[in-house]
Amino acid sequence: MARSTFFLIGFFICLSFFVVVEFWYLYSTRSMTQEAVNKKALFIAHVGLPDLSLVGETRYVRHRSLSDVFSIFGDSPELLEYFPSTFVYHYAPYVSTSAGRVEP
Amino acid sequence: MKFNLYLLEFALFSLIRKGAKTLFVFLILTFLIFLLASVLFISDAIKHELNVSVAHLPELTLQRLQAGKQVNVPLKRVEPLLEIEGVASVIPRVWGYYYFKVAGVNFSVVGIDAFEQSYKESLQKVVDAYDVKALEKESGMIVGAGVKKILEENYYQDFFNFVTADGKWKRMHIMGSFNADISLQANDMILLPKKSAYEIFGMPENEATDVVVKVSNPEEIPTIVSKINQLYPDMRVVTKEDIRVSYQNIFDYKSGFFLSLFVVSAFTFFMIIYDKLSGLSSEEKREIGILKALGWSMDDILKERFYESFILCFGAFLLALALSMAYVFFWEAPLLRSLFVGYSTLKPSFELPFYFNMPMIVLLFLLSVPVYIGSVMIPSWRAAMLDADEVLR
Repeated sequence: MARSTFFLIGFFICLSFFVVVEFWYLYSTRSMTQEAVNKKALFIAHVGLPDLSLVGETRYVRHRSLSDVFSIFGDSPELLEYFPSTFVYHYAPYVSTSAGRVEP
Repeated sequence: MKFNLYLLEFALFSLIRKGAKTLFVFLILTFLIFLLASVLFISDAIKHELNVSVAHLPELTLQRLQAGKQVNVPLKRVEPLLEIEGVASVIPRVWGYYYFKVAGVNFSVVGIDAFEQSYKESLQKVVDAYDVKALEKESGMIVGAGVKKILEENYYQDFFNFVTADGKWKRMHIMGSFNADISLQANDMILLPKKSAYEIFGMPENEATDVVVKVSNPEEIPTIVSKINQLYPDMRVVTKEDIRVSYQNIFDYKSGFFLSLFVVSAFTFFMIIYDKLSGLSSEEKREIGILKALGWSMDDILKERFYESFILCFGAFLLALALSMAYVFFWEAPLLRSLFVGYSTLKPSFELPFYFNMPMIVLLFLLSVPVYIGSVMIPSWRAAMLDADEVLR
């Protein structure tokens, strides 16, 4: 067997081993623990607001599941786009437009 | 298919011989798969986080709409709602946004009833080093990590002066902050007694922002929704299922930046594929011709090409997967993170929970590896079908 074939096999074994070890490490240390899930559950039970605080620029993106269609237009008479928030996150479909109609 | 080590070695030498070209294709493939995998890892982790949250929500949220806008709900509506059969509890809520002008950020302020013992005990579990009992008597509040940081930057170490709707100052003491485990949910939140929330928002105490309804039997939800609609036609009912469905398409694929990112990378990838498919270079054709003249069968040529392309794209796939996991979960996705947290000044820490979505990885594999192998194999097959002298001519 040529030396480069050994290198190739070694490369694939090392890479696969690295992926497995990385996965195992992340799975065991960074997965959501039951304790964290319980804490989230308690918090959500208290406040009842499920949306994540990743984006706070607009009301309809921050608490998107509980916004109404007019909060989308609330900041101005026209629909304001907040780059990149409103490009990335879609407001809840039940407050959005369907087939060109605006339904609160 | 019988494995032939000599063919594998030939394929490897062929890749080494092509040097710069091999390296270029390998790097481009790695980068594309890395980009796609990173975006998918982030979005899956966010969706997982949202799905965990939504599972613990009350079954129904009622909002009153007037002239298309959400308005407060009179508290007198609570009693008739409780009388509907199947309703376990009805909780009027007071919450809203408070704009902190100095820093230009919006806080989410939630008023709670902190009187009940069971309530206090469960709240204590999500708050770091603080006695929840002091919340009511000392006009205290519990804040998220982001709020605490912003207030400290503006010299509010122990307290914060809210400006109420009347223009008066309402001093609230910072009694504690939320646990790091819930920072994605609570980063911009302020939890304070309901009484103080009414004062800050200037709301009459016989009204609530919205009402949440708990239903014992989920099967009864549609009936209860129709009864609520009959009782109060101006109330919009948002069910837990509605919210769950809305999380399925949270990312705006239609007009999103997210989509454009995906399109750019996918388009580049398919450009490479197209380039490959459009025909082999004369050098490659000559190589196939020589191999055929030396007595290689079509089967051998295709096998060699398969090994060659598989080594290249499977290596790129594994490397991209390893890099994207490290990029998202160890380094918290610099640059790409800005896409998901926007440019708001109240940025939460981007420590996403690790969530490995196997179908997504399989899809990524199928979109990259077989497509690339196909793009190499098809032109080679075409050339290998011809006679050796015809190819060499």
